[in-house]
Amino acid sequence: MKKFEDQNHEDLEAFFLSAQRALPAPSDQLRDRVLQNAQALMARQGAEKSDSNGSDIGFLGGLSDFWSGLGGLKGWASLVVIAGLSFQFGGVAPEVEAQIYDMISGQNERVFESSDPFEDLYLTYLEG
Amino acid sequence: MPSQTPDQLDDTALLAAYAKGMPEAARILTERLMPKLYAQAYHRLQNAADAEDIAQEAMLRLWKIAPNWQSGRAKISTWLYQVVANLCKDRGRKPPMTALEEAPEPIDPRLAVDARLQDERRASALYKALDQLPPRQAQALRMRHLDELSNPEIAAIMAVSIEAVESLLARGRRQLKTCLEAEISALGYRDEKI
Repeated sequence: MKKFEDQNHEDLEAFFLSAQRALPAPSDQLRDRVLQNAQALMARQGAEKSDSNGSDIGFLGGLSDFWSGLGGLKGWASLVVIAGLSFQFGGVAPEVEAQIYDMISGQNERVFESSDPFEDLYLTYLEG
Repeated sequence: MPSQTPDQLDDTALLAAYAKGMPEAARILTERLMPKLYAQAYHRLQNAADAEDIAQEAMLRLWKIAPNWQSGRAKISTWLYQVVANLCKDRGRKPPMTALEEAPEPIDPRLAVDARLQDERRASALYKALDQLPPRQAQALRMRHLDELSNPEIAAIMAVSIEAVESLLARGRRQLKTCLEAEISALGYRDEKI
């Protein structure tokens, strides 16, 4: 019990001491229950740990299955070649295609504007 | 450097040992921490069955968090203290599980019956008086004089300065004395050295 430092409070201290002494002891069953919980959780966490190790193996196994499902190295090589050719011959995303179209058409307009051979004549005619 | 026995390890090291699968660590932690948690809960609820439930629940939460406990974040005892405080708050809103008559025997059965009765009456008067105080003052007084925490520990839990804790304690004692005035005369006090 801590002493009362600031004033003479022995009367209060007696009340706090009484409260400490009147505290019932926790039962032995409580201790047993707490330890049972600890052991049960320890076992569960141990089991989860080994499960998660197992799932690592499972993931690698799945990856291996996926790899062989694609035909191994030969299959992957074919996929890469097909993807490259698609890009080369028009297998381009629509946004990219639109951008390319805009760029080409914009350039054409500028070419037409600047290549009008009668541009100066119109102005001369209007000015009289 | 001499090797430490498990009993000499601090709470954090024991919790880490438990998380690695050492049942002995759980036993030591239980014996070290559980009585304090039970006492803390009992002083708030004055019901042994509820206090046992809360101590068990708090320890269960400790076992659950063990694999992810970060040693730098808080003291285990402080963390548990706050867990119990929250559980008591929740339990305080529910009706008590059992009547006081069903409480286990007092900690020291050798105490004379009259002394035991005197302690129980004083304890009851004290709990009632604490309930009448402003909550922060009552909280500080409980932590200091029932849970036996130091002022710096109280300051950490209440998230205030040590000076603020001292002020809360001083004001709390004055008010508590006023609340207990009648009981101090009726029940008296003596410097018991039993």
